[in-house]
Amino acid sequence: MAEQFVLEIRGTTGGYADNTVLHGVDLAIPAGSWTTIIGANGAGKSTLLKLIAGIIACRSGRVIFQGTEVTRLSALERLRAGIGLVPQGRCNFPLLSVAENLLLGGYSRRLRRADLARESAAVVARFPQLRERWSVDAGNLSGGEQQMLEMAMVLMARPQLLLLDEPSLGLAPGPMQAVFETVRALTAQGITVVMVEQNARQALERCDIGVVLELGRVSLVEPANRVLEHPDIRRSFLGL
Amino acid sequence: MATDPVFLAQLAANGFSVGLGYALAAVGLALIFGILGQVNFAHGELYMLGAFLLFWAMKQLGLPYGIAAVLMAALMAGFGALLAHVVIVPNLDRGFESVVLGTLAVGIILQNAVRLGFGATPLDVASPLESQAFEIGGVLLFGQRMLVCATFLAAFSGLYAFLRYSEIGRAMRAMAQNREACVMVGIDVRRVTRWTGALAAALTGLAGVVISPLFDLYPNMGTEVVIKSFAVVIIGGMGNIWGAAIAGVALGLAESYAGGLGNAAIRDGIAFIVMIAMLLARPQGLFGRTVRV
Ligand SMILES: Nc1ncnc2c1ncn2[C@@H]1O[C@H](COP(=O)(O)OP(=O)(O)O)[C@@H](O)[C@H]1O
Ligand SMILES: [Mg+2]
Repeated sequence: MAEQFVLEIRGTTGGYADNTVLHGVDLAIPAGSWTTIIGANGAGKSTLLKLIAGIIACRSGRVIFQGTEVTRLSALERLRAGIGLVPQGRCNFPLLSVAENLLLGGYSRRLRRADLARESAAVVARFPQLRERWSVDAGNLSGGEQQMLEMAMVLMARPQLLLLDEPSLGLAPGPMQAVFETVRALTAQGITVVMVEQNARQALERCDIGVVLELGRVSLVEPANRVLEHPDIRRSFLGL
Repeated sequence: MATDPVFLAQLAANGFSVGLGYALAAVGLALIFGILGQVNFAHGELYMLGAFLLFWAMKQLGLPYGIAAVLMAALMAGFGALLAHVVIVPNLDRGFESVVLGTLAVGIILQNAVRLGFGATPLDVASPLESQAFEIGGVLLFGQRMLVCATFLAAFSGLYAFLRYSEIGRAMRAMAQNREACVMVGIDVRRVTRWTGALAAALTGLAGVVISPLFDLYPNMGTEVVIKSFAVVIIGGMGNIWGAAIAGVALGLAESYAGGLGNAAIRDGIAFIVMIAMLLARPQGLFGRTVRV
């Protein structure tokens, strides 16, 4: 039964120093799905993604990925196992070209340079606007292009589970659509996506599962269309 | 006399070779700041340790200068990796104060350990090139100074190639730009930190090997070097290794001309004056804080 979920989180707590942010989170993510986590500022959404990726420690509870416990694995080991995270805000190498950023994206796989170049060409096929900016420094790209680049960098690591922290933050409606379309295309290829989003309505209209996180606890997990119709959610998060 | 072209050329030759020595001595400090964003207050003691290890390898083990230098660089690399592992790795996510205090402590321990082992009486390490000199058009070139220049060239071109083409060098440049993005793509930042410490210590020790035969060896000989290194790093742009090379030469030339045409007091004040002026007028240094290859 457990194998139908690519990720299972059971009773996890975690936080920073003496500030416990997550108070026993339970969540099971089906393989190939697109989940959107919504919640107020400071609810612990980013903390939850960091905990799944192994960037902060899980203080109690378990994280199970593809049927294997990864609770004690480091961020690097989890990336190698197939969990990739694109953090909130800009996260690339601004003085290196798009091409060099993509090569570094595959760093964890220890590929030979020729293989790496071939793979980065394949990954960038999904991102036509990046191909046009191939030799431009990442720092000179637009916000939307940088977000695409960061997703492409993490895809170079070949994750089965892609965690995206507010990928549409600060983007105009056009680039935001492009990000969502890319995410849909990825799930169509079998990659599971868990994303945190402030543009809750736009994300919930497209994704499969909606999760509401409140004060470090999961308060609702439903199919996304049901979450959209939920009266409390409409009032608190969707401004409807 | 002051405008005699041969004399001016001699001052240029002296300043240039001294300046390349400053750059060589400072590059380790620039590397640790540029890549790890940390200030190594044990930098002067790494230089001192390199000189004393050379002394030990030559006097105690009876090795010739060249072989002793290679052994010393290897030992220094190991020590630098250890220093990075113990002091910098646990503090990567903390403010810079932790590393400042940690390296300061290591520096004090090193000074006293060396004083315990070798005593406080100034020692001398001999290099086969020390007494060599040759003349071009009336300008005297000293053998050991030329070795400093050659070592600078070898060290900086080696460093360039390492940063540009090696796997770990690419990771070091990446870490200089964005540590969070390193974690995102799976670069092991602890490993890169240890490598940076090793490289910085080996280069600093190498500076000690080629420069120390020109001076005495004593436990706090690093103090003067560390002041010049900070000046070079601040003038060139914190963490900018090519900026450090240019700033080193500029400082060496300025000191040489100030000493030759003015007086020694002016010469010794230049590093401070330029450093303070730089911090006031252009705190990012001449070339800004980047490790760009
Ligand atoms: N690096 C950090 N160190 C200490 N506290 C943090 C850190 N990041 C976030 N926090 C705290 O953890 C809580 C949850 O933050 P976060 O997970 O970023 O919220 P969200 O992404 O839902 O807005 C907040 O109270 C925040 O102040
Ligand atoms: Mg957040």
